[in-house]
Amino acid sequence: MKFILNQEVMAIDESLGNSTLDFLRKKGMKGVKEACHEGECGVCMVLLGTLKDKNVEYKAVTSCILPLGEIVGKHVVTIEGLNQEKLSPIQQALVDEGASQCGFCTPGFVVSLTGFFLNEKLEKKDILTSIEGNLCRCGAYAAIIRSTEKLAEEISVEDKTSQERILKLIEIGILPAYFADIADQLEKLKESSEANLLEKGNYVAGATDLLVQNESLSNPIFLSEKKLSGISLDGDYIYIGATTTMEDIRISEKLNSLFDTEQHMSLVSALPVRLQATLGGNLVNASPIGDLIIYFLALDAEISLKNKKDRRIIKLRDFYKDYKLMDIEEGEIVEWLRIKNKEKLFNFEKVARRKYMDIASVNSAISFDLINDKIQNAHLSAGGVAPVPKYLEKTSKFLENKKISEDVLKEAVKIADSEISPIDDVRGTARYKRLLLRQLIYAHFLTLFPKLEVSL
Amino acid sequence: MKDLISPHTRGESIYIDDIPEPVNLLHAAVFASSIPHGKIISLDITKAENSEGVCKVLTAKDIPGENQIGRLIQDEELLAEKEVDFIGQPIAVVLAETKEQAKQAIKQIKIEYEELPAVFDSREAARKGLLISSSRTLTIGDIESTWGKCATVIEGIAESGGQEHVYLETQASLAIPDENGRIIIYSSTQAPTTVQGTTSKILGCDMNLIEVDVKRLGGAFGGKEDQATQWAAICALGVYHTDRPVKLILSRREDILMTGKRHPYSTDYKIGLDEEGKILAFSAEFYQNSGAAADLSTAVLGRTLFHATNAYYIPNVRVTGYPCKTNIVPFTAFRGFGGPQGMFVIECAIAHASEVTGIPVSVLQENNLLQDGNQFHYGQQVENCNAKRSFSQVVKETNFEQRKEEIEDFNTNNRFTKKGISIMPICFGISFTSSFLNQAGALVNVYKDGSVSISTGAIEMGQGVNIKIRQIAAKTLSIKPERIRIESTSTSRVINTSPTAASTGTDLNGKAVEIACNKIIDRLKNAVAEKLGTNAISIEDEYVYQDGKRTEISWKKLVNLAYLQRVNLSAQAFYATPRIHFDTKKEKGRPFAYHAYGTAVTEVTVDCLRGTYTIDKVQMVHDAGKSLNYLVDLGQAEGGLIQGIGWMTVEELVFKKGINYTDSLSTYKIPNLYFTPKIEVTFLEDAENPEAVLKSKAIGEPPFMYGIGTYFALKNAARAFREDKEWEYSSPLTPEKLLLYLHDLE
Repeated sequence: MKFILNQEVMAIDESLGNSTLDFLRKKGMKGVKEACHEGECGVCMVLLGTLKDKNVEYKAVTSCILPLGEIVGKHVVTIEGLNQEKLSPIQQALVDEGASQCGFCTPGFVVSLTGFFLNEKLEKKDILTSIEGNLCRCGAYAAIIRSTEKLAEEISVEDKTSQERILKLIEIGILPAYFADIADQLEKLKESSEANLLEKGNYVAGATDLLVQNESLSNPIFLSEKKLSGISLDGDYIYIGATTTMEDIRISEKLNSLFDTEQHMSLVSALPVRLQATLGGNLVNASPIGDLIIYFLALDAEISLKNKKDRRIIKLRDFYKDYKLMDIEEGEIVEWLRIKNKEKLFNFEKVARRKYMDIASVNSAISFDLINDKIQNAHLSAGGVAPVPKYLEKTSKFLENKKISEDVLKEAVKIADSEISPIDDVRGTARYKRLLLRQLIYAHFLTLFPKLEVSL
Repeated sequence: MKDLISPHTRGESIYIDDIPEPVNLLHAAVFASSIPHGKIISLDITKAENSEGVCKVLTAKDIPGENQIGRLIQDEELLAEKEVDFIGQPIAVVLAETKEQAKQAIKQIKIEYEELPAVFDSREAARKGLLISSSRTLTIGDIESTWGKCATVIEGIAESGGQEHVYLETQASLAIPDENGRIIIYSSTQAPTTVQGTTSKILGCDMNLIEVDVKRLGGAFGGKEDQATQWAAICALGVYHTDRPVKLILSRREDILMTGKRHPYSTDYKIGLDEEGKILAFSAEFYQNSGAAADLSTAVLGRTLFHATNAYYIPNVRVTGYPCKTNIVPFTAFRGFGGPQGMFVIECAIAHASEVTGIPVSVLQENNLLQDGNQFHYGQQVENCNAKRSFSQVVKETNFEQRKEEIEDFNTNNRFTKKGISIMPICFGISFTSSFLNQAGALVNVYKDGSVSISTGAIEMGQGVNIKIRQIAAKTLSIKPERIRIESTSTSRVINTSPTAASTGTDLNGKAVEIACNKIIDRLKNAVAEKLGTNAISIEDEYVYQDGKRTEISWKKLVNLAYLQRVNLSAQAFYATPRIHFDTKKEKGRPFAYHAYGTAVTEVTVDCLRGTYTIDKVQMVHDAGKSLNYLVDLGQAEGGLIQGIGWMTVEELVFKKGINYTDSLSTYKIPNLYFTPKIEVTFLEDAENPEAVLKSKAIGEPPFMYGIGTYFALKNAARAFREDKEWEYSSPLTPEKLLLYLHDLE
């Protein structure tokens, strides 16, 4: 496999399912640290540059849960690849504010912030989003915030597209000069890097959970090669390709024209993971608490399951049979998910121990139409309360044709409670999860109708 | 300081796992107990020994010296021999050519246990008489006769949870064979001398055969004071048997399962007040969950007792601590060292008393603050007290009374969103409470080109001790800091070091450096005085001044001149904190060189529909003495606060039957960027501290305890939503606990 590591074109013979972090550290890239090996802390952050239409698009991702197969033909940048003789303005800003104490997390912050300036989709106001996946146990966040605010104020590269942006960043010292030639180099690598895909093996999407559960992946087939990503409109439906990343879903104009997706999805993981994790991965991971599953269950989504010959379309809610057991056959992959392209009343709720970057104790979503003050086409889902991501069928049916009232809500939460079977685990006690789901159902209605007069 | 932290931003600072690997390196992996308590019936390592790449499997039998790592109490084996006392207790070590091979071989070890009954709860342990050592009581006045004189007497229970350190660099060690049986250990430890001493005991050799060298730690927070030792000793044991270098880096999961955390406490309190709200009497019985072995538990418990009255003067006090032995990983030091656990309880008692008497918490707090002339329950007189000053200043700066009213208005007008505000004063004693530890050495070398190299016993772990030491040296020598290099901490250069802990790193080592630098300056002055033929010499801004006038003699020239005159340009110095003593029989004395004070105001918002919360703002007025370095002290104040807030809110350890379910960063949640409130720090002005180097004050631990204010701000917000239910004083106040308080499940 070939790729570019900082300035150097690399040709290596390693298992594509290995963690990029493990490779980098063995390679002597000691600025890339290890602290959790599950994408939770950001000390192993790298930039991953992908050639798109002669431009290189960069994103900052956690290298611990990035399989080597995902860097084939791409540009991997570690802190070593960002260092120049002088400190970059990012490094300087962190130093000036005393934003580094023990120093172990600091290179990760520098890489993430560099990723911010490279990412066209992020605006100035999003600068903190770019470091939401970096933890600092010394708690230097206040100083880190002061430095990033200063950076956002002083440096402006907005309205510039990839290559222009890169040249500008070189000019102001954020990137070393060699970045200017990377696009050409990647172009040259193109042909030699598309080979060696396995015929048989295990499908891998973003791998952001697979590499948490396994030290390395055996016989991986990378779905990122299969061109399944993208959000498109066709007829009455919005189609979301299975390998569309969570971040692309979060910032999708189409989805945001219908729902508050950007805000809802900001509760899902952190940017470096959202940039890598995919819709399809979340669906087939089948976690009972999967945020995207809960989201789309309430949007009455359908999914396409495709093998070499056929395609079948089923309701997402029929996909989950039992704990981690799905209606999927050998050779089938999830191709896309679709929802109706139609405005609906919709809300998503998620409560975790820590509001951001945490796995939910309970999450829930609801959608319905309100016609003549009556609920129509109601769909309610809840995670963390059953062996499967739960479509609350009885509650959804009960809500049908009802006028919203205190009595109706109270009856609805009773029915919901009868549909669930939460257990005590590290995310909370069963008792808490029952109570929390009740509150989240109330929260759905109070969010959609803030003036609702009910005593709860 | 900037040049010292620039390498951090470039990823060029070296931590243990970044040291270039020596040839022939072996990787260690640890096989640990999977049951909380039991006898080892059989241990079969043959398969592991024959596993690919394995060089050697070590068990207790391979320990040539004493199988003992206990420091305060000799009650913990390095490798369990006959019995295991907690899940995660090391039993065997595999040494292999690669990390993967070592981990693979671990799976080949077969063990049989006979399980024994296990205890996990501190009170249950106390009932069964399972104590690490005897209980300890500190007392002043006459508590029994005072209760009857109180207008109000209140009793209750307060619980505080443990806390995982989550130093981002996990426990790490690299041991390298030297000649003639000598071993060099690179360890991520706060206590090189402890590593040296324990390793020599394990290997049955003299301490001079073990050198421990520490450059910096990727965070520690107390978690590498005693808990780093065993991993270093394991590596050294590997070197002893193989004569090859051995490295051991724990994975995050191993680190969480196998190493100690902050002690959970369960406490009975009783407080008595007069009609005006003067606290007349306070008693508490602290049940500390010490875990399966002593580690530092008894010392931690001691500090809990010292800080049981926080910043308040209470004439009649009796506080008792029970170090309870349970079948959980031995709990250990964590920023605050038992102080936070003690201070949480008195704050619970005051909050409880406020509800019963109707006197606002802030009034109870202010009316009982310490002042000069008071006596602590451990006998020390209160001197240079800044409790009232910091309290009134923060009340003024925050417009506390007005904010409180605004918040009450807000709460009246909002149904599910409630705000809360609280005040948290602190008083934290500075010094190791084991008086003998309050000593430090320093070695200052001036090379003939004028560059300076300094070694001390201090460990840099992010707290900025190297930055401060360099400043002290630069100021004392009157040269630019850039000329000075702070060396790694080595047991061969500075000996018998105390751990860098108890916030004393700069106080002790900085003072030793100051003394050493003054020795050098005296020698340099003598040398130049001889040459110039006058004693009216001073050194300022890198130049020699004669009769107040600058001469041509620069620092470099001065040093060279002294060298040619055969002047000793290497100075060793020693510092032992004066005036401190403590009689553990009478439980009276003067354990602390001085106290750090301060007060914080915290504002929070609770979403009472969902049970979630936001910490909006913390404003503190903190007593940092005459700050040595504003940015460093600010970082300690802000960072300590965040950790304290984490301890009080989202950082929850979930143990069930001795199994830790929060064994990763995806299950154990520490504060992140968005969790951080707006923080405003004001350092008290004119707060020069006569008891420490250059009038500064220690700052590592004290700000942690401002985090306790968050708990009470959250409580106040929750009580604004409902008051008809009894409040249980239990932390951390997770969203789960809060929601279960706010709503009832029918």
